[in-house]
Amino acid sequence: MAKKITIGILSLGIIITGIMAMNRLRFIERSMWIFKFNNEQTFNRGFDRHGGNFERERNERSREYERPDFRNIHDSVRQRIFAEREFRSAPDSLREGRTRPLPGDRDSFRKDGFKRGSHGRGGNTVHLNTVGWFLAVFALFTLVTLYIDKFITYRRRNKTVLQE
Amino acid sequence: MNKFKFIQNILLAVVMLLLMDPRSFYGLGFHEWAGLIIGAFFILHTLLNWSWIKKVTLVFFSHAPGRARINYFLDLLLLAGMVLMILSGIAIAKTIDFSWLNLGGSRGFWRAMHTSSSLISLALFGIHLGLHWKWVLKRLKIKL
Repeated sequence: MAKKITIGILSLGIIITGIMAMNRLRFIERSMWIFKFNNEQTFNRGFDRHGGNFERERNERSREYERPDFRNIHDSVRQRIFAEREFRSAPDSLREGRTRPLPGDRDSFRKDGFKRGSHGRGGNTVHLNTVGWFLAVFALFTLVTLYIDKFITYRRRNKTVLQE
Repeated sequence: MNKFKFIQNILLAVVMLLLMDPRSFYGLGFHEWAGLIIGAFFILHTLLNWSWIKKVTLVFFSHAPGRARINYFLDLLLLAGMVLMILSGIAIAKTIDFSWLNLGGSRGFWRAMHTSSSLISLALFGIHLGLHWKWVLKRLKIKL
């Protein structure tokens, strides 16, 4: 009995994690891309990563919201922004002499990425978070198939017993 | 032979999962080379189970059991998924130069194909494992 309860709890955990992973990875939406593909559609860099053409969405959003002109900002506010930027770009003890790039300073990020030998994507590092979510989806499909298979076998056996 | 098959299948599953996100494990270079190598191992997996494929193909329309038919159909879908995955991967490769193949089609199309085929194949791999779970348990018992 204890074994059955443990397996039940484990299965429930796998199902919940699997559904969460499917939502997080936009699994169904991304699986259907090829069937919805339109050749005239422009594919931006962000399409692959966020399950939608987010650069286009961002452009649409920026059209709705006009950024205030930096020159029109009051002097005291402008000085504070400059001071903050200088502070952020300065090395601190935690970062061991490294400076954090300013927001929008993409060139330094790209250079870092290429230095790590990965064409700006990943590098010689291991971050298995996303892989864990894929594992959860994989386990979900395995488990669902397993239970459907068991259910079908059980029903067939019952039918055979009833016929006899 | 069964032990070899078992180890090979575990390796295939692990590498397949690592390949699902190109940025997770040693970057794009690993993703592309391992993707090509896994394709070769997939062919080896098919060859190791060739006797079953031959047997079911011969009796598919006459007297093959329902379960064998489902497995066969699923394996055909997996084969199509793997071919599309590798082909689209070759078309969008960045660290290996496959431009001489002239596959045609827009990059966007191949990217959409690569993402969709890999996600659908992952789901099919999960179903494939679920249908062969008894075999896996058998192998584990032998190992333990």
